[in-house]
Amino acid sequence: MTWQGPIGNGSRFWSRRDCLARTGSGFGLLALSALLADVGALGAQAGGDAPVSPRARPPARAKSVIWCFMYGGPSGIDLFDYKPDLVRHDGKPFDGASELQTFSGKVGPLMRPPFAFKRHGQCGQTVSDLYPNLARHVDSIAFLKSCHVETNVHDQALFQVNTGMTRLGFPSAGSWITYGLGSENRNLPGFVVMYDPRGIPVGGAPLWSSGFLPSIHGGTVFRQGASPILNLQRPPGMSAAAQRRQLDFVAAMNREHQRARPGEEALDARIESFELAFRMQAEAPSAVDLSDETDETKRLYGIDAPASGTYGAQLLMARRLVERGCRMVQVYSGGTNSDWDSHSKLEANHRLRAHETDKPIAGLLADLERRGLLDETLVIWGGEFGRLPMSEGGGGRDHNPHGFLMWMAGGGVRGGSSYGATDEIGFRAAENPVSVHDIHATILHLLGLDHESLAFRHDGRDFRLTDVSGTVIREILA
Amino acid sequence: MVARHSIALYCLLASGPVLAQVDFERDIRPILSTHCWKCHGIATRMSELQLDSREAALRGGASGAPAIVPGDPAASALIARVAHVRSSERMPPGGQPLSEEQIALIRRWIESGAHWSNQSGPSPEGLQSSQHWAFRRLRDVALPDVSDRRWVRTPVDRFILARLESEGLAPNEAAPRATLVRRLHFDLTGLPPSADRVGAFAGDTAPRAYERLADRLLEDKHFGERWARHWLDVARYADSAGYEEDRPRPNAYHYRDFVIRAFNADMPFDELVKLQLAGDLIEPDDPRRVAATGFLAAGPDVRPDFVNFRKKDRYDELDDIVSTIGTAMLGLTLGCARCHDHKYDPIPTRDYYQLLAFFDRTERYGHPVDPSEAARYEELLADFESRFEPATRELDQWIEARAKPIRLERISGLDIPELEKELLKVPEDKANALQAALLVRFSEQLKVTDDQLRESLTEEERTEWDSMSTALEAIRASKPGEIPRVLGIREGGPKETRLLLRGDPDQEGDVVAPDVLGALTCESGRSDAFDSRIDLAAWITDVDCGAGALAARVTVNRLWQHHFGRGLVETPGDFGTRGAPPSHPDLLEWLSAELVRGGWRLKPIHKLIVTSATYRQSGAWDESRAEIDPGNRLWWRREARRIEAETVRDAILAVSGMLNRTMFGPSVKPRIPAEAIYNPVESYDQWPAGVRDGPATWRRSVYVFAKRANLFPFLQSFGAPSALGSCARRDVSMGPIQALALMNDEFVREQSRFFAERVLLEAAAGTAARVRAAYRLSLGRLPTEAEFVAAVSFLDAQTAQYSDDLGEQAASRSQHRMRALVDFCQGLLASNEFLYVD
Repeated sequence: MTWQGPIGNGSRFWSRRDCLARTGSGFGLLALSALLADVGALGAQAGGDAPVSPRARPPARAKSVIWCFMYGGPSGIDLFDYKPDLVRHDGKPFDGASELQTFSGKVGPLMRPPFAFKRHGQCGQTVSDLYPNLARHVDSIAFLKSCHVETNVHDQALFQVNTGMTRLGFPSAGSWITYGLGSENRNLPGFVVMYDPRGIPVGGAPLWSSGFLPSIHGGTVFRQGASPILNLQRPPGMSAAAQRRQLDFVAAMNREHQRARPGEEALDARIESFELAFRMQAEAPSAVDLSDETDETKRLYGIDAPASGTYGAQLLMARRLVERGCRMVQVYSGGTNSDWDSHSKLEANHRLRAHETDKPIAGLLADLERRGLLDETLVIWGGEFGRLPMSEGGGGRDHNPHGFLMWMAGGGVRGGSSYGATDEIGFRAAENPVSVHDIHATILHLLGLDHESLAFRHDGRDFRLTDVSGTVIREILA
Repeated sequence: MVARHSIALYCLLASGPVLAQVDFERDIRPILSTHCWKCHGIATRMSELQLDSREAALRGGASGAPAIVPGDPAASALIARVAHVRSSERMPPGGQPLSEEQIALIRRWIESGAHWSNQSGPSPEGLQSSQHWAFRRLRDVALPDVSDRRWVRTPVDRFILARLESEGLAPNEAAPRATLVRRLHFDLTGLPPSADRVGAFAGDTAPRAYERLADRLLEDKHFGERWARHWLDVARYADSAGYEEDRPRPNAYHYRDFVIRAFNADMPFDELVKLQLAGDLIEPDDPRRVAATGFLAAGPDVRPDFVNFRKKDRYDELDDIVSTIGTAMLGLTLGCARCHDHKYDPIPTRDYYQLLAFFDRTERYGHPVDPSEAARYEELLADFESRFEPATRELDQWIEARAKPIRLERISGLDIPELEKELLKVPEDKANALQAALLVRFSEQLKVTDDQLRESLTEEERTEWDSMSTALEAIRASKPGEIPRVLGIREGGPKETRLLLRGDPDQEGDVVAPDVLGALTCESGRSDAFDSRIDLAAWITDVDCGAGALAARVTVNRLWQHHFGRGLVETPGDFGTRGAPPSHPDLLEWLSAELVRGGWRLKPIHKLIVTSATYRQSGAWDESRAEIDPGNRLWWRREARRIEAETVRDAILAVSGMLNRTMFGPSVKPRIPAEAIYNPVESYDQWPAGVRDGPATWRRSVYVFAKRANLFPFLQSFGAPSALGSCARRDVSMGPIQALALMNDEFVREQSRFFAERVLLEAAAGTAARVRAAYRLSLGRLPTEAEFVAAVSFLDAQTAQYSDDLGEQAASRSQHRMRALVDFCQGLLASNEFLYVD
């Protein structure tokens, strides 16, 4: 037996013949399994590629992930990770400046954060005054303070944080997750991406590509409004009843066609795919329709304020999607010319970006908690890298791939914990460095997937999200 | 499905010779590489024992006992240690012991002489004795005998039928003529046959009508477009560079056009390989042939001009080239040898870097279409630069001379110690570390903007500044315009290529010279020098002393794959020991030899395949035969195949009558819905918004611009490759996204309307005639009586629906009828019969 896909009924262990026998009509499970992401790993076999080696699977702590992706590279040392030595040495030249390969050119002297820090919660984690609402949740959060990536170039770092590799062509973490677990809702995609309406991150759609996994596992872009998914809206002038009749006509034709071709199981799946699409037209808009949310909830997410309105609405949609069974919702903060990439005027940039995201993220954590969903929803915060402790141009900071901060909350992580550290100025991971593979291994572990056995045969090799390394960060597990 | 696969596999393995003897590559190397080499490899040599070559294993380690005694498992320390009962003595230490099966395999392997096919350096056995079938020379195979000679049409059928008969299976008879004509058109041209063609073929009862049709379609201009698309998948062709900026490559299409022309002209495959790898060296003056090197330039590009371009990025680019050649031409997963010796195939890391060295000396280059024009352009450009640079420098100096006093004044006004003020006064290019830090820190205060400077100037100075600026602008405007170019590669300067340890650019190893794979080269050829890419190309198709046998197998398998939906080898990009074994080894061998005998021309192989009885079979399904071969691995029936992404779009255009059949030229950008156009940074190239589709964009999909960061959504949803790497086999998964596209995409709706208008135009008045015309145009047949009734009743009910929905006014009754007809036509285009070719 191969990789045992999602938890659920036992249908995926049946043979084709069993399926046909048990469903009577010869239709249904088999068609669905060829069709839906909810077959998880099994779906891969249609293409002839088999996932590998079963293993004991860790118990699932989380069912879904909401990934708050701060695009452009947020500065952990200005937001959370207070470094007294950086303040003390403010204005002094940085010793290793000549060897340092920066993104934008020469680095300036060390620069203290232009923000005030305070300790918060039982755990006493520092948070700067940029995140006043989020600061109330530090006891739910596990901080990873020593993350690092291999490159200081945006797109390659974005690829790495999403796929584990700096190069193009590999499946995104969300794709691996739906490949491994499937979706719990057949009427919605399992992996949803919402990007900032101001623009898509550089690198584009390959960031949520299924790579060499079956394309059904690729991320689906969701927008706010009546047509959250491309082609979701019926053609102008066509009512639901008219489309229903059209689909019934096609379905009748297809069933006749299929009756004459009993050996072609893909035909079943195609018939069902139209039904699924039709249901998705009803379910997807309602999943992201916020009109039945209370004003209090909307305020909680900061939807009433202009600056935080967009991100708040997206995170509220994300909550509604995971409630409905989506596995992974990735929500990017920052778009064209308005991201976290603060080469100059970091103070103004981060004030604005933090303002846009503070209430939404704090609201999400509070809302998940009061609904009892935080335990089963892993919330992740972070960017593709952090920012250097040195100044760039007097008021900015350049990219820092050597040591930066991410955090996780809910979904089986130990709140108020912290792992790893950078050196005294926040430049380089110094204690318990955390690689992207470690982060991915931990995410998969929390979802009940073993990162070493979740693999896919491609080009003669068994590929994993964590390539050939990755260690679950047990220190932050609840 | 799990069960189905294993049964099929059982069928293949049980009756074939595959399991009969132990194969080092397939059976032993994976065990050694997984369980032994970590500690007993060349780098580790624990207890002085190395198990990664035969010589070392015979020698043994510190204990003095040989690890392997060929022919005598009992005397081999390897067996003693892996089978030891005490876990403290057993190898590998710690974890799981080897399984019984694994130990039995090693034992049988040692018994049979412990043959070790080569990987590191010249092998004592050489090419001829290579154990793995795909690495051997081509065998002569005789056509097998069959009982049912009546069924056989081409030699292909003898192999298929012999195998079927040995399993007690009978193949299907030929499909009806209407099915065959549709199958052949889609397969060879990627377009549906016109209704007239279907009628003409159905009525052509001449004995060789089908063969004539095949001949005609093999000569059709659309053949090249169709089969080029298959090759462009493995060549990971795109019109943009990918990564952050995803820059357009406006000159890349010449490569796509080269491939189409080459397939139409039936260019021999060995020539195709030569031109793609070395067209710039072979025919430097023929841009159409230089364009073939677009194959090497087609991969994603990590910005060579970028400040952060690192050694790793360059190695990534070269890896893309080597891996693509591996997948496309050799069926080898060469990329696996980048960090360590290939674990399963005889490809040492050194060989990987030797291959890479052929390309390390090259660079992407836009070859001028007209070399004489290029010389003139270079002259004009040199002249421009000789005027532009001094003028720029002069203006800069003029400005600096006037900005400096302002800056000095600002420095003296700063609230910092005098010493720091002095330090700040140095020019930027002479600053030491401390000064640089200071300059950066105060850069915002000290920056003199143009406006600030202007304010400080006298009236004359302002006039002088303006006239200098105007003069500079005039020079800039005289920059010569770009000339037409062809994207390919060229030789750069000589370069020393180094092997990387564990693929790490920070751990450079030996210098390596270009060379070919040792394991695929005959003994006498190993001492030959392979200096240039021409040598490499010749080696790839050299059947006597190079990789030619493998390349021929990979090539005919690819043809089979696209004609049948599945290759004789189901892993078309991996013919190594971990790839699938061929279902019909002798057929693959015979076709490969036939390809070589025919001078590597592909069309004769196509013809052998499409005129075979195997290809012409009907799809009839049969419970009892499916019981024996449920996966149809032995081809007792024809499977219905979903048409590919490009074909879905092209077929819709063909049926609507709107297909623009113009060939070649720059790629086109049809409409993409605004919400699916991505814009990461305003200055980056992006898909134009608000395109109105028309004849210019209704071209075949092979001409649609492939933008790596923003793939054309309609094609992407149907599984068109992402061009991020070589794609030997497309993803066939389906989901509601495809259904949504067929239901709601504006392109589909618009073409459905054109289709409906065409029906009105070509049919007599009245619903009945329209229904028949719509069926004939889209599906190439008339409706059955039941279908006819269903269609008519749908049209009536749908017309009434629109009257209800949109209001019943006399004037709009005909519009409602038209809407219903559009829905009906769209339904035909979305039907399984349209999307699946029997």
